[in-house]
Amino acid sequence: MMEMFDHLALGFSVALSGNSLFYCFLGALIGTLIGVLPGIGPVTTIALLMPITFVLSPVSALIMLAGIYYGAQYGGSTTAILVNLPGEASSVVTTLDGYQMALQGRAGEALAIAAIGSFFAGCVATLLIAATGPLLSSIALEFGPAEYFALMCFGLVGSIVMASGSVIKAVAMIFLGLALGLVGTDVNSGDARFTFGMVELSDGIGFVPVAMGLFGVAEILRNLRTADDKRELVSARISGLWPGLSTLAKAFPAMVRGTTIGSILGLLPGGGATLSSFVAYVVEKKVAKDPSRFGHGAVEGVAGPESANNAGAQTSFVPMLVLGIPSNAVMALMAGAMMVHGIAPGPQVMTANPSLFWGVIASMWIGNLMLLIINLPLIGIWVALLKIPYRMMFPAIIVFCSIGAYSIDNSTFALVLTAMFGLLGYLLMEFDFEPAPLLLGFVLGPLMEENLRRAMLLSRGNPMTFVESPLSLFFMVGAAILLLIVLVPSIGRTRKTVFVED
Amino acid sequence: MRLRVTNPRDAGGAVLLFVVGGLLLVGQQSLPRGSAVNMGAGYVPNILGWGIMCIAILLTARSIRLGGPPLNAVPWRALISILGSFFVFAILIERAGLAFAAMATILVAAAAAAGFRWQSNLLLALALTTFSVVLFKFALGVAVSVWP
Repeated sequence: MMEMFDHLALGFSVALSGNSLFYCFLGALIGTLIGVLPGIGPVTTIALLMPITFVLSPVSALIMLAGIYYGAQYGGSTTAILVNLPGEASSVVTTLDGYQMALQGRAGEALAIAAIGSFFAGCVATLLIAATGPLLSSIALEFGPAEYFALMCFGLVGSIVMASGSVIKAVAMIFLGLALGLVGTDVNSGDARFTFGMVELSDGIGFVPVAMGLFGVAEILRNLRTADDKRELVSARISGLWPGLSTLAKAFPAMVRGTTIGSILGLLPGGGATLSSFVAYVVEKKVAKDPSRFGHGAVEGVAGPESANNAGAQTSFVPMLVLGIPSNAVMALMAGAMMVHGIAPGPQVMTANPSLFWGVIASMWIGNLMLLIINLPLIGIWVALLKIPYRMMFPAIIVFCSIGAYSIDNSTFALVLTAMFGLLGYLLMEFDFEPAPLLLGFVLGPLMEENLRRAMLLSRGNPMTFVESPLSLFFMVGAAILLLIVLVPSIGRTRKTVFVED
Repeated sequence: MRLRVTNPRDAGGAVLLFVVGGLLLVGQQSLPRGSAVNMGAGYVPNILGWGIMCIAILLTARSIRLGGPPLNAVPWRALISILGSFFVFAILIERAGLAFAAMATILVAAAAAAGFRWQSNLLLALALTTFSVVLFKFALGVAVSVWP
């Protein structure tokens, strides 16, 4: 227990340095800004801004990227409440009661409850990470190649569960991602694989062009196809930011429930902010004495999901930082960013780089505090941002993508790749495929192959090694159960309501 | 009985997967396969290739058995101008410098929206170029030259 506070103290000493505070603030600010703008989600934002963080030190870069993530999460709920437009998938359920509250003239109250709920969840999740992180990492240090391979299978199956739409297509996306991960020089033998004679591909396909193309460029192509969106703002002035005590008393139990749900679901593969907020809303409706109030401005309908998505967003860092297994597309991007900085995500990060690990964790708490400060007083600015037409936004995204992709190693090849992956992303959307499992497969592919080869070498070619070790068996059984769940049609139907982008 | 594609989205996906699976299976032939104990560079690509082929066959079957929504019209204008803007940037950045490359990229990208407005787009391009030059060149120190 004391150790946990020592760790947190180390973390805060890093996170409270002027440099870290600045990048944390910058990240939270940019994240909120982009979260407010409809049409760009957190995945796109992070992919877009990742090259910028490459010039920073690894700690500053991760702190800023994390800030962008939860900033975007929070900005999304502002638009959900004021305009009935979820900025991100994770705030879809916030529109249900949040917008109703705004229509009743309680917009300020809804915004404040969302902010307080998020902050509360952020505090609890930070403590939870500090408590569970070292425990998980000590288990993970015992992992051999077989256990790692099984864990990654479990993670990939989890992303199938979370993808909406067809199971076959989600599996296809994972395979496609794994295949893209093969390109480049094989580490074991030095053979060039699928490089088609191009020198630029000998180090593999760059992570940034794939992420920017599949998410950023493809999203623009899709948005341009649909007609101009109409946005109707709640025109009444936002007043009464401080909720009354009775409202707070009603909201607090919902915040606690939401935080619990989010913290647990965030840890699971495929989990994270979106799933957490949906589950929290359903739970709130179930436990309410009078469920008919929901959809008509029930404050619990804002407090629960908003706490849950923030808690989920934060605890989903644990599997990525501690095990090296990203559980959703955002975490895949984070893992990619760490690898670019030369840090392989995994259990060794906590021991080899304690100031990085604990600094990022502590900065999350500070970031949540900053969000409270950024959001409530500046609400007028965020509302004004909603008036920027998309016509002016997308050329900006394109030019930032271009400069970003080029600047990684001054290569025009990266630009061609970005355009190609933009086209691929557009085609995949057209054919109803989800790009998120592809990104996970792409990040995990090389690690999976490496561990598979080593596990088979150690077991002298006996595939039973994956079920003989108890931990590996546990993950394999878990993956099998998850697969069964998605294949049972009645559960499959409810899956459609859960969105993918996280 | 005539076979008809009733679900063009599945069919399109199947074509895409056949291409990728085919590339994998053809490409791995020149790589050493190895054995289960000592896998060569071609072992995993071979498995993946067959896996992707199986899914492609499943999707083909679905596309002629089940109905589905039609494909959307191809947004040629957006596709050409958005994807083209990356090539414009690639061609200009080393020859003309960041300022001109960014200007041209923004203008080409802006043409993706219906109804090109010269005046507002030029203003937008100027403002964004200035912003990008300041941000990337001066604030972040990216190693590019601003002018030719």
